[in-house]
Amino acid sequence: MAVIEAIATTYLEADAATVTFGSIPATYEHLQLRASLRSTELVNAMRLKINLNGDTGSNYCNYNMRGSTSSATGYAQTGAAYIQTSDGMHGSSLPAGEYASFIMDILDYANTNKNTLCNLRAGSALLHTDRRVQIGSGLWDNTAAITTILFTPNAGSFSRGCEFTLFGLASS
Amino acid sequence: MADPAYIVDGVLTDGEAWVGIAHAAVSLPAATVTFTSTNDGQTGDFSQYMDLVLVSYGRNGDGSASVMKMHLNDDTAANYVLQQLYSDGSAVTASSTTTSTYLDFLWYPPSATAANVFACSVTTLFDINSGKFKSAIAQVANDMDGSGYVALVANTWKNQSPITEIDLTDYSGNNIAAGSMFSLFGVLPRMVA
Repeated sequence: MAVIEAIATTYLEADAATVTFGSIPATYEHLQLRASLRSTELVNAMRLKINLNGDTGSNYCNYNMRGSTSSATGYAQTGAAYIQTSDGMHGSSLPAGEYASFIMDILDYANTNKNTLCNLRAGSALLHTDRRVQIGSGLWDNTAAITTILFTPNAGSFSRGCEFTLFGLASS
Repeated sequence: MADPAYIVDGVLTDGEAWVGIAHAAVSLPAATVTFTSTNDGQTGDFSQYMDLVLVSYGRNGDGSASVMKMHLNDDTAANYVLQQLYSDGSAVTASSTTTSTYLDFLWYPPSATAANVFACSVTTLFDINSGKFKSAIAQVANDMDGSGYVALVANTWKNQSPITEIDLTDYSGNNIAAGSMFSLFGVLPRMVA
């Protein structure tokens, strides 16, 4: 097995309300999701919401550290219905060619003895005054192996041109 | 023209998603490190990749500057926008620039720093062949054994052209130290039904 395999790429040729990766095999050690994001909603910045295995209950936590122009802030949420970025993507108020950058690592995702923890990095809206760079974590309070990942913009739909690729990292 | 080894009859036979494009190990002080797309359908052809990842390990060779510059497609004009979040071990600071003349990817030790101390970073350039403005995220570790920084930097290059060349230079035009190393990887997509 290759060390890093691309499991699947979704490149949107039309706007889409959600993007899902399903039937994720348990044959890797870790997962990494890399994406280029934008929403159709006429706003500057917004959250990206992430649900695992179809769970929409209040079973998620988040910590984020964010730089926005000259402001550095921290953010946390508990008992949430999804993992989220702190304004990690943006809407259609920005120049048409600008998409946010996003990387998410899901470590030891198939281990059923651990709650799932994600490591998030994002950069967004740099051509706007709502520019952000952030690093964060997302906890799903469940030990199930990850088989499905659902991405939803906080408002509107994912714009045409958004790209998501899920990678599997093999065990050493 | 022969296909790369991982493509047989137009099909990816190896599931390896990261392809090593080039590795630049600086054996003598050097002013510039350049990666150029070979545009030949081979491993070095940037046009086949979704993303590029640059792993850097650097030090200033003979100057006091503490930043390296990345230029895309020879663009040295003020077409880069960046947002930083960094810490010196005490304060956490955010800073942004909308008229940068370079992409910010590596903060590194000046030449007066104790010997053998290098900084490292991992930089992702996203969707490099799209019609989007090109974006990047760099995660930087610049630990100088008593001082230093850790940083996360988001960058946007205000240009919608595919990336075909990457130039790395010292901020003040000094040399990059011998022992510095830069490895460029191409990240392949996987289109499935």
